[in-house]
Amino acid sequence: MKRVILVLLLGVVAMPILYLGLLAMGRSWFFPEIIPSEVSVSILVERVRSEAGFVSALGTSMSLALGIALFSSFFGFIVSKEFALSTRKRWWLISVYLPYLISPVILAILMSRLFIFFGLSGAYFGVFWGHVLMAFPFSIIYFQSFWAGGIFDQMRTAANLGASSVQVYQDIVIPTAWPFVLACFFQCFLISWFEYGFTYVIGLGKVESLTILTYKYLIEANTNQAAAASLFLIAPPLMFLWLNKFVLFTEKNQ
Amino acid sequence: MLRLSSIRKAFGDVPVLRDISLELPPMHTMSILGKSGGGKTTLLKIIAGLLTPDDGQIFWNGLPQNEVPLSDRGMVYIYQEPILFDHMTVFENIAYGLRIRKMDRTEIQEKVVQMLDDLGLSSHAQKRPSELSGGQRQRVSFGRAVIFGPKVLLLDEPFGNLDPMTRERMQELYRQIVQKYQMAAIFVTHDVKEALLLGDDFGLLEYGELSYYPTKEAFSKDPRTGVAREQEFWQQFK
Repeated sequence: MKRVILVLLLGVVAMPILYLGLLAMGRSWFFPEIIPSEVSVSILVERVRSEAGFVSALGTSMSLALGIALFSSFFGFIVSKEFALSTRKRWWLISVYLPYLISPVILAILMSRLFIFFGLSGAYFGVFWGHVLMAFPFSIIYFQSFWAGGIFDQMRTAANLGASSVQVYQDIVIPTAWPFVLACFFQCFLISWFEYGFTYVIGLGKVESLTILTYKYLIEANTNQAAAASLFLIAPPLMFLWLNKFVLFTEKNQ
Repeated sequence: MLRLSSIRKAFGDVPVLRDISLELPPMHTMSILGKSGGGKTTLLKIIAGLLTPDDGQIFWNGLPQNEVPLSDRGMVYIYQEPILFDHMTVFENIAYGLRIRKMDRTEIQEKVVQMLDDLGLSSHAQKRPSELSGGQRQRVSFGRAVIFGPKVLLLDEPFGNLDPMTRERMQELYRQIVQKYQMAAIFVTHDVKEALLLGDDFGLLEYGELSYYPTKEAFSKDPRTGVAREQEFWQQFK
């Protein structure tokens, strides 16, 4: 019975992905056929190559997401520590929750004047800073649980035993924080990877990410092309889920 | 020798330590008795360098220590709830003070093995702190502090959270280790028996003021210490 439920659950999760795969890699799929008459990876490759903007959109999304993940994880870690030590911690934390009170599109519209003023509208770096506005506060909030978890006592203990500041970070903070940093990196990557509102409003159509491209295909009713783009869009989260199994949920980290 | 001269500390408008002076000769344990909130922890943290005094001086062999940073002061504070490095094994925890001093690997190995043996933790060397009991964790914390030969050990009710049996064993172990490694220590407790058992000289910290007693007799005679009350209580059962 347990096995049947497991198979059913897997089926529920896998079906949409399978459907997406068939749409992206299939050709000549007409009613009442259950699967397309031709299914192959080469069709997907062909679809990706045929669209001039596809590879560049993929590159834009990838570079943005990696950049945001690196920037937000690194600086979020540092800033979050300062927040944790601040006497005005509560106020600082309320301020970083602000970007999440309204939808990203509305926030982007409200901030678009500022981006225009700094010449960042319609530019890659404008979109980058827009994504930072969404990922960076998340990172600060996320790391609060790390800094509140007794790490300062451990740091003080190490220093009291004679460790220098560098040794405290090298021996205590970094090994303890590593799983947190990695999880934050993955999450920030995904925040940027799936970001649509800011990219659309700040990018002014000049910065074409994979989400923008997918939406464009959907508007055009280009189902197969949209499926191909969506397949690339869901690849990183699936990969991260798989990686999580090895990196975050090891016995050592539990 | 450790010497404190007129240490004062207040948190906001509330004075916690008022004009504390004391001297701790080498290889001596001073037991300081006091109720919760009496300023015991604050005093130890100031000596260790974890807190700064508002006024007063700390001297080690005549040299002022107030400006010496925490990592160079060599006066180790042991928390009531042992703070171990959870990502390290018991062996690595105990070896930490030696490793950061860039001691030779073979020497570290020898010293840690000896310490593990002294602490009765040899069979737990490769375990993580999360796999240990409260008493074992406190032993690791104690061994980690003692192994590199700090100037002074500052123990803040280290056995306060242990059951009576484990507590007795730890008190005995403390006496052995301190004697073997020739340590000077300030042992803070609110337990009269523990203070009498472990101290060479004594102090009573009340409302931020420290009274000093050079002998057990002097300490016992002062009704404020509660020794007489304790004795009366046990007399009933004779």
